[in-house]
Amino acid sequence: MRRNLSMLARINKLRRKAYIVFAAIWALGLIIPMAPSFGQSSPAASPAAGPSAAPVPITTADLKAVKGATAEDLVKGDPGGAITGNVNDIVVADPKAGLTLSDLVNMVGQNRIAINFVWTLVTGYLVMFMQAGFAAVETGLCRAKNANHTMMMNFMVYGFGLFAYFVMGFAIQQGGCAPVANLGGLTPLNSEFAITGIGGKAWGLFGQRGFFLAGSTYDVGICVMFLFQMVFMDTATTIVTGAAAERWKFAAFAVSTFFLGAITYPLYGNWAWGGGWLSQLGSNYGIGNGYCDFAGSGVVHAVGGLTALAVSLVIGPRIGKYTRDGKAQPMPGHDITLVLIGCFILAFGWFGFNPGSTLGASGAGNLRISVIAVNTMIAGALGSFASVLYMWIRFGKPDASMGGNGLLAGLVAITAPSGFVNPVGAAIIGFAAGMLVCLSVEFIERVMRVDDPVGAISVHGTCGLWGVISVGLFADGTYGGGYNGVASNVTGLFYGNPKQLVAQLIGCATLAGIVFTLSYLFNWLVDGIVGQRVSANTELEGLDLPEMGALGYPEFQLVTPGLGRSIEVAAD
Amino acid sequence: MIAVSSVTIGSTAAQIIVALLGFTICLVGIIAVLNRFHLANAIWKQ
Repeated sequence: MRRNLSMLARINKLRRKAYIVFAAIWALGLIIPMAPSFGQSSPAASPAAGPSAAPVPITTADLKAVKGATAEDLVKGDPGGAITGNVNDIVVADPKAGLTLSDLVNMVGQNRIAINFVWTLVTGYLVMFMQAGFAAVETGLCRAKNANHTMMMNFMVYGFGLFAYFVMGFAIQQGGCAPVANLGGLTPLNSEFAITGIGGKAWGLFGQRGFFLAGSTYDVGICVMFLFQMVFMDTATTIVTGAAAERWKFAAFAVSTFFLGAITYPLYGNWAWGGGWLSQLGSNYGIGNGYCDFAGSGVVHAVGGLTALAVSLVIGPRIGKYTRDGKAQPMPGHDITLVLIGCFILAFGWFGFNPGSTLGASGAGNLRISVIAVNTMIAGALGSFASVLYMWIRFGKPDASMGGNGLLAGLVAITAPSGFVNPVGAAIIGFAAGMLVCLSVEFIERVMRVDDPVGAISVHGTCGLWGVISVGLFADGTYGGGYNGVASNVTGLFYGNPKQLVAQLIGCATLAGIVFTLSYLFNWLVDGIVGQRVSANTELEGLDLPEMGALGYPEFQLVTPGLGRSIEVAAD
Repeated sequence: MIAVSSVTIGSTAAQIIVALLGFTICLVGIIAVLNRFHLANAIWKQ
């Protein structure tokens, strides 16, 4: 009987291995057919076939001859949409003179900017909705006794972070970013504080316009930029709440979030996106296109992930996470359905994050948004595939939470290169990120013994850095001309330009050397002055009642496994 | 600073090596030095 059971177990084991091998072969089959296109340079746009007609200049007289729909036509309704929107809808400067050529040209120009405004605002709204995804993921991965506290931290990064960014963060980051052609110029944002750096070149350090969006920065284009950049900053601040969850004092969290939104994030954001010294590496020293971070693997995710690491080091692991001999104990979250729904919300929001970073849909090169969206989709899906495959092979089960983290890892990694790589590159970057996040989670938990309840340091820190580096490897030279003031397209090592990798590595060193240090020092100071961590009793009972004054699930009896303690809430 | 100093070097290969070295030193500083300091006083050892 025992022999039969043992044989059955062996057969099951062999069958499982066969499934895994089959899945791996299938994955290879997915990549290999695409390989011939990898490494090839994109063909230049071919000229249209046939002789082209000589252009005929349009005059104001021609415009007078254009007839729009009449009132009689419109009163009947327009179910087919053929006559709504015509020459009559063009805004004229002088009604007496009628439509002129200058009215037409101005309308075309304003329409381009209007399309870009709408695009940037709507994608910004999508990114804002990602807060709901982060809240769901982090709360689901924490224990039920801390649900209210974790959810409230995710909720209030919006309030605290926005306040800090409105007061000074936006000005520091974007105060010297003009001109931004896609949004009408943003000319008032024209003051960057710079020092003389290596070789006598100007090094931008921080912007100086846009505090409180007052004065000349009270401007329609600047408000679009503010909204879009604000929700990005908010994403970075919400990463930290996951790593420090279940033991972070709410007051300390508020102070730390304010500092991140006011100083740390905007500084690095300025160096990368606001015309600062990292973005100038190309124009100043001929190092590729300078530091290229299309949508923020470094600016948003690595800044958030490294700050999460700094806070986790200062605050220490949760009680019960490690035994006395330093062995990590599992502390499973309370709601995996919440986690995976949150991951899907985040994947949806990422279509705002990456394609929205063109800051426009109309104009030179902005139709790249389709490639960026597809790259985002591919990398996220391949990330979850890779992590599930890894967990299946390593532990025998396709772990759900790591599947979710793999999806996010792929999305984080493709954020910087999304504009510069082709779909095959995106697939490789996403797949590698899915594997990397599993290895990183194990390393941080077991080797470093840093407690990160949701895997935020690995997902955003490790894979954020990988995303930054991958630009220097996989950028295929088909897009990015004019990026950071360098005329050539962004091209990585595998497509013949090793210089870009240098700029990306300098960006990574800056993240690990300066951003991490700044975050660590500030949070260490806060810890010394007011204390970052709740008391042991509060932690064991759960942070909901002592910190927030209300339980997340008041009608349930919550039991903490292994600690023999429970919170019982009597019904009134 | 080490990584940033790579901008003064002429050879691209040397630039990559110096930038990589700077990045690696930062990571080693965090993982091996700072983290070890925190582990020495870890809550689970008390």
